[in-house]
Amino acid sequence: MAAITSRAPRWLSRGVALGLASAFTLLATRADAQTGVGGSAFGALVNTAGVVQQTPVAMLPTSGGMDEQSLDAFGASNAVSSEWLTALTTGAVDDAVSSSQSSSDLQQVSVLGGLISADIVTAMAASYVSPGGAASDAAGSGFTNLVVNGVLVTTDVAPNTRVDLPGVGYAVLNEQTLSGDGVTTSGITVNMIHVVLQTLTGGGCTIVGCLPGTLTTTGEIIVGSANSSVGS
Amino acid sequence: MMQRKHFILVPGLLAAATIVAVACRDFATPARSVAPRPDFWEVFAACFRMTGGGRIDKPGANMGGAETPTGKNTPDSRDFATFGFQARPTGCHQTTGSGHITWVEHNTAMAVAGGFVLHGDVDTFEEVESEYPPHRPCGRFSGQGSAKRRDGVTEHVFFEVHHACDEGEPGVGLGHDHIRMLICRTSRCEAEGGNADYDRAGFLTGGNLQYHKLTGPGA
Repeated sequence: MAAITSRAPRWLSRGVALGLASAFTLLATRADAQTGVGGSAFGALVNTAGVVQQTPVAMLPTSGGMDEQSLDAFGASNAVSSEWLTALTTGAVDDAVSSSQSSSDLQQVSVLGGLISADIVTAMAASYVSPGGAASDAAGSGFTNLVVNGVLVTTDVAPNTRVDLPGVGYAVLNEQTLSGDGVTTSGITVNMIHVVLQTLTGGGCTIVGCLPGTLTTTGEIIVGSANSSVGS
Repeated sequence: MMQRKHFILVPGLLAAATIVAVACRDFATPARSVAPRPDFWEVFAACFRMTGGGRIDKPGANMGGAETPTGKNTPDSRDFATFGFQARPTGCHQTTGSGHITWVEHNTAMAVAGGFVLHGDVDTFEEVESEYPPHRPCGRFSGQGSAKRRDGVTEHVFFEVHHACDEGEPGVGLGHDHIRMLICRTSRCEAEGGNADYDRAGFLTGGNLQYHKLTGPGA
């Protein structure tokens, strides 16, 4: 290991005038930027027939810190199976820049018996707030070898891509939901695979004609979810 | 050409035979100078802490701490790592530290068991300067942990985050935040990772690294 050397604190090298100006700036900054942070991530959520399974789940304390939860394997009947699930969230409240970043990784993912599958699903959310503003993004989110309805997807999936799943419902891939005012607050939720399960009720044809049925949502499956937020 | 060892986790005697040194610079990546950068590698006692999480992709790794910003991999590649951490010195200008890191390597070719998840506890924290102007302070922290392979075998390892650099907001983009992770199987990582069995570095393709001044008692 390299030798440790000490040196003067950086502020000593600055002028007194700059220091006085900074003092006023810091007071203003403290009021602006020291706000709460939020973050969460989970591997999979299955909500069918009123029964909810969600695991693994990581939650960031509002004061910041880190939480990590992982699981070797997860299976929920025919809905979802996956290996190596990791949910992570970190963040900190700070005078200058408060930030939060969360991620969810899963490998060997299969949804609805292989209707949707991927070697790796990665959800990533990051938010920050500084005196200059607040912002969030989902950079780094993606799939490795995603297959939908038997078709390999060879390009990155655009945010909020809807795919119909005949007889099942539909899926939103790389679902991104932004929140906040972009000035003092910002947040984002990323769900890489969000399946909405639907059934067709009613309708049908008689001798006098046909009546349309009604699509009813019966449940949902979410795989790879990350959330981050800053500000209050 | 710089060479480095890939991280291969195999128990017992097999380990020695399977740690191989291979050339791994991506040929699509232009060669970069890895000449010594004494200013960058000089180590200071720190008075700040860091939090962060995100992703780095290959290409982008290079010995000497030089990273080439290349963006996220194509959707057929597993060659990336994701991570999250919090780390800090025990007190201002102390070199002992605390915190945690989780590092997930997704590349099945890099580790024979098909990637790994490292859970580490931080016990040192120091400052180094970024190699890129304006040479902001970066965190260097290390400790011990367990690396769980895809086949379920867990190994005790030493790790060093050689540098975690917050270059501004947001964390992702050309010239923005960058990080380098070293993992050493038999002893603490030596200077510049000479004994590293795993070495991955890069600009973030997702997430953010954040520098925080220490405040409160002991700061």
